[in-house]
Amino acid sequence: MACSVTIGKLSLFHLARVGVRSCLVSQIRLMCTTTEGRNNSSNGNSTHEEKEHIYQDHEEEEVEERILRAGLSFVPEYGWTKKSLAEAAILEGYPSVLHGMFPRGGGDLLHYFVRHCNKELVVKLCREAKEREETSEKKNTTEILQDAIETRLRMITPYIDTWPQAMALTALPENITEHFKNLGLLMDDMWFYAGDRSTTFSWYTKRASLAVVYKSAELSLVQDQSFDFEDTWAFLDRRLEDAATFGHFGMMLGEFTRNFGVNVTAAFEISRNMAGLNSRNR
Amino acid sequence: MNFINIMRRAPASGRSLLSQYPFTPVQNVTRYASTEDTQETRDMIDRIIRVDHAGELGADRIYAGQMAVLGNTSVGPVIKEMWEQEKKHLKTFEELIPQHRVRPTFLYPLWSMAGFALGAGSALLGKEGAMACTVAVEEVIGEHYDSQLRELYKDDPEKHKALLEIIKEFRDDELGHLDTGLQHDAEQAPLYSALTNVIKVGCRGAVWVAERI
Repeated sequence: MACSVTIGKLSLFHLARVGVRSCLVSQIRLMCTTTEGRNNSSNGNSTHEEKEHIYQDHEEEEVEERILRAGLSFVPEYGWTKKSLAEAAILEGYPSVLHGMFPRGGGDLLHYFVRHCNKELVVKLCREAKEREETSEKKNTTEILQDAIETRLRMITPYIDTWPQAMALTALPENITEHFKNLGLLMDDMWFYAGDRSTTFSWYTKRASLAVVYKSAELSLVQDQSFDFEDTWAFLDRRLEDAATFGHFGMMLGEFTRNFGVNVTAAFEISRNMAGLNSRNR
Repeated sequence: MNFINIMRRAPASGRSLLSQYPFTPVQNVTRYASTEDTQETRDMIDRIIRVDHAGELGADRIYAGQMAVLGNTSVGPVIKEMWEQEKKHLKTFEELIPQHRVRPTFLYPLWSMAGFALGAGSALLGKEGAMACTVAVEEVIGEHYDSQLRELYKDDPEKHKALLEIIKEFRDDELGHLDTGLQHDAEQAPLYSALTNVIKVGCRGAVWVAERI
């Protein structure tokens, strides 16, 4: 026990200098070797170190998850910041410097929240899609999408006061890739469970146009003063209507490109006739 | 006894631990058909289906281009027969895309137009030209399917059984087209070796790009 206390003190010194993640890992490794030494003398299992290592990695993830989850309850107070994570670490019984496990600070907390909400939405959409399949009930694609977007936006309403800060965070270089990745996956899930099975370029245009609708509704939400965000839901309704109109326009464009081949052949034909090269049945 | 236990203290008083959290964790949700697949296997399936869909799309457009020019000639029915098979292949991959939640190729319009241009362009050289084009394209596609079969076998023949069957059948179809091309005087085409080599290089480049984008 005396040995571990020294290690505890040493770690605080390290935390300040080297950064918490690497320190945590090295500490775990250190503890690994001591426990291993003890165990080796008793049973001498060769795969023990390996097992222990996997176990420790898993445990580190668990601590991360626990702190992030706790961090969300401090967001209304401190925003999407390191401060929230530090408070969460204290609440979970760790030193506050453990926020160094998250190099992006508030960004990591935000992405955790977004991933969690997306998962929750997928579970709901999946369940509804199955129910529709069982009852063979037909529902308009636009309605399903509208429902999905509203559900997803309602998930951020408990954090609405700090959400402008979150939106600003997503524009930071270290957060922007994950932000767009999560957004893309979310749009893909919404379309998939709305029954979209497209395999052409419209796969991209559909997802992109829905992302525009979603993001503009999100912007409307953060400045919405109306009761129960009614203005935003009306705004969303109008935007989806617009998108449907544009979708129709897109289909007309598709029609044109499908006939493109015929037009090109006709042009070839005419030029061959004009050049007197039309010897088709040689 | 480990680091985490040493560092852990009693929770700060005044707040109960889990009860105050806004939500509880959701169980793992998978986006894919099979849950046990590793990331590498998923990436491989993703890549294979995307590039094959793009390839069959290109093939479909090539035959469409050839039919537009040579539809009413003596080789019309031969090309039409091959085209029908390609349409079936394309349809299969169009079903596999949503099934595996694969992103279709981003260059869809490019493959569509390039395929048609290649088909129509080679057909304008005459029916031998069209057949030479078929020979070159199908040879590359055959090789490409073979390498995919090897990759899938190496990963796990049992798990990818359905996909292996599909690719095997399509590979045989494509090689059948190659023979058809040779039977219909492909080698009589103007500048046969130069023409087929240019097309082969183009096809290999297209495969390389389609696997990535």
